[in-house]
Amino acid sequence: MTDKRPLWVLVIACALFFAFGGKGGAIFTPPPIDGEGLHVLVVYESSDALPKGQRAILNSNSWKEGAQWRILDKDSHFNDETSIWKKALDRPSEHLPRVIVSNKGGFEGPLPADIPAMDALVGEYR
Amino acid sequence: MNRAKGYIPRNYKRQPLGSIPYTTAFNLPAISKSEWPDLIDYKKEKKARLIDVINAAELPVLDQDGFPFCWAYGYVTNLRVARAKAGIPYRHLNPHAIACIRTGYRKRGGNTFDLPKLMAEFGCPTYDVWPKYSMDRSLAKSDAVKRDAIQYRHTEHYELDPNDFEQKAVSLLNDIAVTAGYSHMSHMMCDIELIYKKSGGGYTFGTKHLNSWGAGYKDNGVGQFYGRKAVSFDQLAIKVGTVNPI
Repeated sequence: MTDKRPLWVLVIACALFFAFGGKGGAIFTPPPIDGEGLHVLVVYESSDALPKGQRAILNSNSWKEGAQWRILDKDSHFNDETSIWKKALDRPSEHLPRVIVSNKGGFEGPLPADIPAMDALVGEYR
Repeated sequence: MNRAKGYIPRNYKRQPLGSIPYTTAFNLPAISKSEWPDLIDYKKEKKARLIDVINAAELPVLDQDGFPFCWAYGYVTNLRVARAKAGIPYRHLNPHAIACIRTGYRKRGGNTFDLPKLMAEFGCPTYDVWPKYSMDRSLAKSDAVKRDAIQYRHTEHYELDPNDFEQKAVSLLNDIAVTAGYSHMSHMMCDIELIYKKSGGGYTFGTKHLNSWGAGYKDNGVGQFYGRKAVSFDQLAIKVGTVNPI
């Protein structure tokens, strides 16, 4: 019997590329943030000026519904070194501002440009 | 509603800019005044103002209940907003406690710039260990209070130039609330939003503030000033996102 796994891998890789490649990030299995359910972490430099669309994401409530979430400066101090958010914040990344979405897999990459794009990204993992 | 105040303006001869520990000079990039109305409108249209965060987090309005501790209530209101913006679970941080510690339990006024050192090295206890308006002198030495307070320490603040409305506007446009001392009412409050109204072919800018006179003040604790009344003398911002994320 022919082993078709390489073909399946290629098909899945192509699907993932078209689904997420345009966002410039990477997808993950297992999820990049520990814990059950939808988790979202936004990391930014609070002393940098953000474009207004990205700035609005920080205060928008639409993508936060049903999620555990944090919006943290890249240099945030933690009282609890074992916090799942500290582990997530410490993940190496070339992007800033960036977002990690995690729930049975996940996405890590640049923060979307505006609220609708953020809603769509988080919606993929609900 | 008890309109207690207690704001004592900072003496910049004795405490010049740069002399307060745990504060840094405000350094966010300037934003041209001509862009302010568009940025204000955009946040409002997208429901992406600090007040939207505050409402979603259901932050209770504080009430200083006759004590002259507005300078501590204005600080803690600011810290509560910063924590809500970061998504950090709500805790009943008690401004009365840090005012008691800072004044040696005296019912006297002060300034929010009295607090960065205390907040960085001691922190702020919650109602769990320091009952709301307690003047119990044993509390500050209690191990339970110290253990609780240190979890909510905060070390990073921006020091804005006195009376500099443009710096305050830039801070607010970046969603960083400002604890502001208003000389015209001898009172400190937490400014949360830049606003404007059209007047004579131009714009008059102002600010919305969260007061600490309970929910009976203005619109559920939120008031506003325009023009010269919106200019505040002392101005301290809590660096959003650097709040201890517990």
